[in-house]
Amino acid sequence: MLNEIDTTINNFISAQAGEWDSMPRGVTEREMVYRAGNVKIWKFKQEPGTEDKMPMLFVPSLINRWYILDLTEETSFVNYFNKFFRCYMIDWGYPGVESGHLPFSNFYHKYINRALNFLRRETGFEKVNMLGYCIGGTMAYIYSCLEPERINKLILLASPINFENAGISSLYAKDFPAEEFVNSMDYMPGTTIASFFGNIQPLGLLKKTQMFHQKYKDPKFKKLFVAMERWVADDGVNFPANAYREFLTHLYKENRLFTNKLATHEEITVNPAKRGAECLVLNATMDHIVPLHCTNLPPADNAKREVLTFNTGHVGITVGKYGTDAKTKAVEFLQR
Amino acid sequence: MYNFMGDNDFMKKMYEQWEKMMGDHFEKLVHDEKFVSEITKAMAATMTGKFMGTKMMDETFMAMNLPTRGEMVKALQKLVDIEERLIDLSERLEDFEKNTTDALSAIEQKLGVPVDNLQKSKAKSKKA
Repeated sequence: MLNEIDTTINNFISAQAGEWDSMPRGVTEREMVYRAGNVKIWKFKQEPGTEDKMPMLFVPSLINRWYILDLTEETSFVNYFNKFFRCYMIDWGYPGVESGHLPFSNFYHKYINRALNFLRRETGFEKVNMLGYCIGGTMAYIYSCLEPERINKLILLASPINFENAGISSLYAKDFPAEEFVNSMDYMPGTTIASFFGNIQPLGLLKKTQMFHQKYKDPKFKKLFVAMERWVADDGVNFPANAYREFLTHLYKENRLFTNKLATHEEITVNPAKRGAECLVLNATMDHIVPLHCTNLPPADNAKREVLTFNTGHVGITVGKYGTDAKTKAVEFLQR
Repeated sequence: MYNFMGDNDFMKKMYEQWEKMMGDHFEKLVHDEKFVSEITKAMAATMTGKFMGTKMMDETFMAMNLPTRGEMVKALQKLVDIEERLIDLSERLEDFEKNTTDALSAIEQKLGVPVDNLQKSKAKSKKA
């Protein structure tokens, strides 16, 4: 009986989604060129004229899948950047119990380093341009402090760097039972993370349903809506337990990155004063996950920077109408 | 606004009012420090309960001389550590190989002698 209900609901949803129900997760043509454990690197189909260009590496967030930056042809960052650069994307995969003990620094240092070593072998370039989205931006920023000579230019897209009063997430992180969590869990389930973001906007689901009802006849809207829902609700990623504990305690609770106190598992200090790469900060005024002040770079960071603010939200800056402005400005910044 | 009330103005207004009220109320609730503190306490208690349950299961399995979940997870994580080490080593080896080849071809260019010949003559002199 329950199975029948489940099938009926799924069939109904598929019928509503129409032809986009089976849309690929990530629309730009790509191939997997590297794999180490859970981590993969995607290389996007090279456009003519970009063969000798410095590689562009995208670092997506750890809490959701990479293809938010390649959701539909119209909104894709990858698709746009690919016209100008050789584009590569880190895919963090789906970590499970086997990754529960790994420190956070494995992700922001070791794995990004491996990706850059691979790019050096593949392209011959010692340096790359890097774009990080959300926590991916935080990791890209930390990496640029640890290995300043390997980054040419850095773009931070809605990325938290200053975790002081970091909105509602920091309110929940403040009392988070980190020790109990590490003792009992191997990872923070992707579904729990997704429901947290759902709960912090209590009527969000209702408003989303209303919006769908109003606009579902517009095929452009429906395509993006279905693609977004498949990304946000249907493809959660687990956050490995030890890395999650460190992320919450070192960054959200103790704000170590902004105050120059963060260190890797191997006790290498993350020093923003060492950073040299020119940086473009893209942030959003209505971002309820990463409020504007959280995108400020540490006072110790003296590298050249530019800040562009858009009147949109955390996801809107990637797929909304301001996403187009954001990616145009980002490419201009890289070509300067 | 969602139009399931048809064109009935009164119902529409009532719905809008309800939506605003609920929105404000829930917004306040999820931002309330006391509420958050209680939620995290409940989470901590649930996690402790889960930990105790797993511990009990592990002890039962241990008493029966069977591998426990904890042991299996640890073994899996050890495998990941070994895999990590292997990846590091193989990449270092790859870099080393490339550097050696580059250095050899640089020597070859400087001396004008193919390195293969140099290596062969070295081997011959060793044999002698």
